[in-house]
Amino acid sequence: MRRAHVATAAALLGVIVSVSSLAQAAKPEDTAATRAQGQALFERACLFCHGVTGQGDGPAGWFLGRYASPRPQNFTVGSFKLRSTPSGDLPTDQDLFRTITKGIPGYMPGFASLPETARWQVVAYVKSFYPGFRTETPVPLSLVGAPTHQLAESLDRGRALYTSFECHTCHGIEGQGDGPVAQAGELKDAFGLSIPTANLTRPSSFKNGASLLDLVRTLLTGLDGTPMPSYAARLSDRETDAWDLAQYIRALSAESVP
Amino acid sequence: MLVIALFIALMVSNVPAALAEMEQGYGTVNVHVLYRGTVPPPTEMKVTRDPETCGATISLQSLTVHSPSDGLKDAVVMIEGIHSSGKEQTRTQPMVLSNSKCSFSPHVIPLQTGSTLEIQNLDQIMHNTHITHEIRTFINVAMVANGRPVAKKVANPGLYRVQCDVHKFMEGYVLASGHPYFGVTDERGSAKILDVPAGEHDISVWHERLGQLQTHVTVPPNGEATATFEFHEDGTGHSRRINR
Repeated sequence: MRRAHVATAAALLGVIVSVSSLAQAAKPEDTAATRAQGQALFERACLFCHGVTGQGDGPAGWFLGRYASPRPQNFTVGSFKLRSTPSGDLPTDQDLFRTITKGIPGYMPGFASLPETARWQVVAYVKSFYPGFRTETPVPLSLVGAPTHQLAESLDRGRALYTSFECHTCHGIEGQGDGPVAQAGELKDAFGLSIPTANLTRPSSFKNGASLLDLVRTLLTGLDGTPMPSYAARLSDRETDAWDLAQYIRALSAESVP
Repeated sequence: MLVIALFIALMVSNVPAALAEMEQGYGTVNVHVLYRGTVPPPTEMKVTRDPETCGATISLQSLTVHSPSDGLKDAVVMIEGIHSSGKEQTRTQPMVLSNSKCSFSPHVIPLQTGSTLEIQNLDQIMHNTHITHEIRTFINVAMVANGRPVAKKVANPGLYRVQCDVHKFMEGYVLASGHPYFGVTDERGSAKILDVPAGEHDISVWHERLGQLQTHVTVPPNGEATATFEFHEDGTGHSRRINR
């Protein structure tokens, strides 16, 4: 059983590595010409939500409701929710590419239909909105390890961690996004707007992906600009715990995840 | 030969600057920060989470004023408009921010950019240290009981706000300076900035509730200058300066 888990994880990582390699192969150099091509695409596909200056204030935002949240990403601030990097750090190019490709369930469409080179051009243009991308070098957290416990044992451990990490205060005991802090309306984003808690029984709505690897990444990185913290301080040297908690979160729903 | 001549020429051209620097010297700035007026009563808040550690109620007071001197604690003083020459002694030792008894200790931390901020949790409950620099997240990290400290280098100057998303009444500040010429006032409202290059300088004070004041000091070589800031109850303030 343990060998099967390791084999699955190795295959999964292999797929990820090969997908990244394919994507990297089409990545153009970040030049003025690349950014100009990215800008042309941005103005056709992204501007309506993210705005001309990338501040998340595009005209479509008005249809979402002026004070509805979360607002479209403001690229000029330097806080990004969906990353593989430590809390507070900028996302890697690969992170931005992944978000553009897969989209955000319920909020942003995926653009997998665009050629890879075009998506990289958009990545280059999006980065130009925040000067920190020129001076900082984001480094992804290492997501090594894999589930090592049998599922039943993993779930027991994950359940205990769910309690000790106080996940229930926001996400609720059953994971339905109805914890006391969420019900009290105390959860706000960096702009002071109220935001909903993820309903963990609906993994297809998870913004940062719902695979085990996605969940482990989210637990380690947190979602910057929201109250969801990084648990890296507790999990980075106990990766088994991260996988156990991810298994438990997945088990909160019978919904199948691709 | 040409290279040697060029080298000598460069050395000679740098001599006046080096001499000027030696003659310039360094001095000390003594700062006193006062609050004139009635100190408002603290805000009492009922604690809804972890009362066994935080207490049933918490008393929030953002003005700590010494009696009878009126000295104001936790005001950050800083030389303005001075740039790091790269030659002065840096103050980049690690600074520790503790979650302790449901408050951040120290409440205000001034540091030089390049310093490491180490966050630790001394309580037997979970805290969530969430630090923002303007709107950008600096770090948002769950600090479980008995967990490891978390360290992160502070690269950018400016004001950082420290909060705990679990206990909303917890608040603190980090002020990052691009140079080593800063300090924070003690219980009597005093701070001392050492080894300031002699000459004319602007100096400012910042307090989380009272805002900012600025004045000008002349730092004599191997001497001392004194700046006194006064915040007033009505929101105004003024400053005095003495050079010795």
